Amino acid sequence: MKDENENSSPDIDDVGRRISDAKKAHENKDRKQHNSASRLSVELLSGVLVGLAFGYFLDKWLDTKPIFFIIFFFLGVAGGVLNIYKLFRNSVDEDSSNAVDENNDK
Amino acid sequence: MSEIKPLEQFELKRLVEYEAFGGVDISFTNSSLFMVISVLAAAVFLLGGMRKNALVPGRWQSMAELSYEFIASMLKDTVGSGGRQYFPFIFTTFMYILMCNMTGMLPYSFTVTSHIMVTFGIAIFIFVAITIIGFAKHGLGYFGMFLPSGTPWFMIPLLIPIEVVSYLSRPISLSIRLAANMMAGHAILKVLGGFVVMMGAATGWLPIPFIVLLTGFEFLVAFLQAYIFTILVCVYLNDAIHMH
Repeated sequence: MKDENENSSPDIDDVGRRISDAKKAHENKDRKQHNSASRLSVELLSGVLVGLAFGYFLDKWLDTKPIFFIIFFFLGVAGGVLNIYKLFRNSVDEDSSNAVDENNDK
Repeated sequence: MSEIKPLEQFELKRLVEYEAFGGVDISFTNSSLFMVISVLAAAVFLLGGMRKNALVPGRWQSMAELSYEFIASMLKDTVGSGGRQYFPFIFTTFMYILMCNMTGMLPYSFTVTSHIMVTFGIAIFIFVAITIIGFAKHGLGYFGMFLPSGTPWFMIPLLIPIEVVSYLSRPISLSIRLAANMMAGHAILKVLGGFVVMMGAATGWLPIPFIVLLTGFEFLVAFLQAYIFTILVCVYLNDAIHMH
């Protein structure tokens, strides 16, 4: 009984380590995937859309036809770019924190 | 030759016509039907899986437990322990969107999440809820979201509108991403299926391997988009709870 335990426990540890390694690799892959190119276009587009909607309704409200539309178009572009910047800033942070984790493990 | 309409599958059909409050159309459509089916599928999947509640899970139970642990670890990684109380909501969102995407993969079914109004409804509800959580946690200090620390004073009038636009674009980007991905995939499948009919018996088999490949890919997209939607909700929740 005792022998069996001693034989099986390192195996279980090994399996546990493998599972956690596989999980880590999987998570990293997923994170990279969801930061992929398909997100960027949507972020930029939605920023511009919100900016244009803002400008349109401000113009309608204040009766200043093209002024706010033009201003908020550029603000929308800037907002979209800011979205993308935030996306990359987060992913860079995650990568560096992962690197730190790996170093600590070793 | 029959005409191929790849967008016909997204048409709403009223199954039970009903008007309330003098002209507000709240008919029960095929979209509503598949929403009900998705909710039932999620309930059957989870309740049925946990029916035995065995210590050593069987296949079904381990699938249910896997989906629970998947979201729980995601929430813990992105928000931390402060997000624990929002887990039921996040998990419900994930399971609902996942089941909507997956029932959409069945032949002759309707993909609820391919309509931007549906995804926008989900996204704007979450957006308002997260904004309320932010104000409840930080009071008026939540307006500090729109002002990154260390901004030079002359940049403030320019930066605040940009941050506001960036903040308000969150529900838009959430809903467009989900709806566009679901719609594009299903439309492409229909177009390729149309090629089979158009090319006839001699060469019609050529697109079929691509349809098989794309169907597999669509299953991946169906899962991935539910995952991305949920992890973004977690990221936004983290912003609201912890601010920067």
